[in-house]
Amino acid sequence: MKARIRGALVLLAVAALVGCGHSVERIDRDAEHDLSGRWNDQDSRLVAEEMIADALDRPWLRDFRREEGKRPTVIVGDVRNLSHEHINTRTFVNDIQRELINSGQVDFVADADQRERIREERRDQDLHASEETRQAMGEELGADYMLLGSVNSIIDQEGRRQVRYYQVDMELVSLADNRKVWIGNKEIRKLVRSASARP
Amino acid sequence: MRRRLRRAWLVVGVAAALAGCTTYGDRMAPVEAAVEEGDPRRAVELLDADSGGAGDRVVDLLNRGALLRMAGEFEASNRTLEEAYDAIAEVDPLSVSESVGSLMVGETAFAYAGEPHERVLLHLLMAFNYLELGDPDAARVEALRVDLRLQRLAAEQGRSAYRHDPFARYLSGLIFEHLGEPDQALVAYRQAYQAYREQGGRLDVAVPRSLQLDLLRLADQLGLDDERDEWQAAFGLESWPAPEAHRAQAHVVVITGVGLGPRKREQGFAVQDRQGRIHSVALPYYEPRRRPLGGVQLSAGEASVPAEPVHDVDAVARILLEEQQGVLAARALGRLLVQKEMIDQAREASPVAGLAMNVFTLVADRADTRTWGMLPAQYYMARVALPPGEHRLELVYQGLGGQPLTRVDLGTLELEAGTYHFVFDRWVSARAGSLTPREAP
Repeated sequence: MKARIRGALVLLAVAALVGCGHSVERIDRDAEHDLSGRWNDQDSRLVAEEMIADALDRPWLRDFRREEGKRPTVIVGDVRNLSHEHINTRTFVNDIQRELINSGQVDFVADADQRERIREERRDQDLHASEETRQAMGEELGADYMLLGSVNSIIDQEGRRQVRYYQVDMELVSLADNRKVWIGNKEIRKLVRSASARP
Repeated sequence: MRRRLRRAWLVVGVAAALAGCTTYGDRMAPVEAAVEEGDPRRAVELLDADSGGAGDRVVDLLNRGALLRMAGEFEASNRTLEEAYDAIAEVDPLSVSESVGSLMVGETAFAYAGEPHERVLLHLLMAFNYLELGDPDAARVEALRVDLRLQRLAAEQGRSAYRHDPFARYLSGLIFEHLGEPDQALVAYRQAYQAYREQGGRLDVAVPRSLQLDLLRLADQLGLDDERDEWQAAFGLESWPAPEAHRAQAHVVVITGVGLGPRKREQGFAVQDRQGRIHSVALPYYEPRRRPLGGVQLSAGEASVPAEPVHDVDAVARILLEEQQGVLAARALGRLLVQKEMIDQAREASPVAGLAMNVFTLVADRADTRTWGMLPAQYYMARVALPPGEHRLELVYQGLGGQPLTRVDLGTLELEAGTYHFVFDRWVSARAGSLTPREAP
């Protein structure tokens, strides 16, 4: 019995020490690190890259350039989070904007909040900037298309296992006549097993 | 003589050790007092100044989140509750070291992981906060997380009286309606109705009249005539709002939490066996609190509607503890055997060591009195449909005889047709009144 109690105490001490230690290391942006199975930065980036690649490969872009003789101008509208977790859709929107701008195939205009701030700056210029450097009001570039989307999820769980299914839907809508010129979706499935015991 | 002396030392040692040993309830007493005085910000400071160890992290975060909500700091409250959510996931798996430790020092060796109803209420409080912050999409996320939690609850608590949470379902339905998703709302309302029916007798909460009207109206709106007829027969209602009339009006949902959750206390007894060892068993119980409230009334100009009780947190907590008592008692008995062996082993080394070990086991073995005490004892909900325009709202808390205890001016709302407006309040006592900070009218 004495040995058993000693054994239990040793076990306790070992278990207590297992959780000790704190460290930080820089990791590569592309390295796969999925700690919890939740939507993460890598999901956001990969979905944005794949969806924009798909959008730019579709006929609407060629058709627009042929008809209008210029690059289309796009604005990102609402991306609604309809999933089971709090997803920062702003980072996802930023990923999409970056992919679109870097593609060089479309022009991109600032969103509603940014536009307000820029207009405020122009109003300020009207009062304070010299005539040669002043930017005039009413010269903004109007968008031809608005990109809208949503993130949905379905979670199937049994005991400590979960299958998390994410579906990101995006669509490009013509601001001139409400035509939907492109619809894309990307799915991600993750199997998450939670630990049933800890030290 | 030596034996008498040893016993005297044992008694002195136990008394001295117990005097210096505080339970979670003792630690929370000043926090609770600050809330009862109507000062939740002070309560947060007191909690932060005397937070517990790693094992109390979840319960401290839950209480902190509820206090921040009372103080009107909704974003901070949600950050804290989200931390609590992650902390619960961390301590949810069974711990080997805590299990071993519990054999020696009792249930407090386990990290607090939240009672089943607390894990649901965590999401409801977050949903309330998001609605206050004007972010219904985020509140919808909480409705979906509640659904996941409730699926697990039904699987884990299959035989418990609390295996569903009707209020969580009802609130989810309201959030879906707010976002223009009537089909999702109907599913949630049906689940709420089933859960209220199932638990009504045990938890003393009836199917709210407003839920009955919602079911009839939505079945009508979605063209489910057979279902509507079934609801009508079940509720015995002759009339309900027509879908067109519902769309033409604005809808105010007032949810108020009243009182404080029950206090968990310790009850125990100690016996001395023939070999002079003293054994104690300590188990938790909920101390009843006085309920001074007879009802809550919502007034909006000419209209005046009673708020209905929609969730009895106090009753759920008591029933869950009652259901656990058998397991807690069995574990306490198992612990007695281990402690007896530990005392005997120590005695073999020396009588003083035996005495010290006995004192240690008596002092360490305390009932687990940790609980999310900053929750309300009950939630009430009032619903009113109003014509578009400006409306001034008032909430009246009434005593057991119907006399007004507290009048709360909820302010003037500018309402548009077909929209939902959620208004929240938190009332602890007649002395403190409403704790919800509001801008002066």
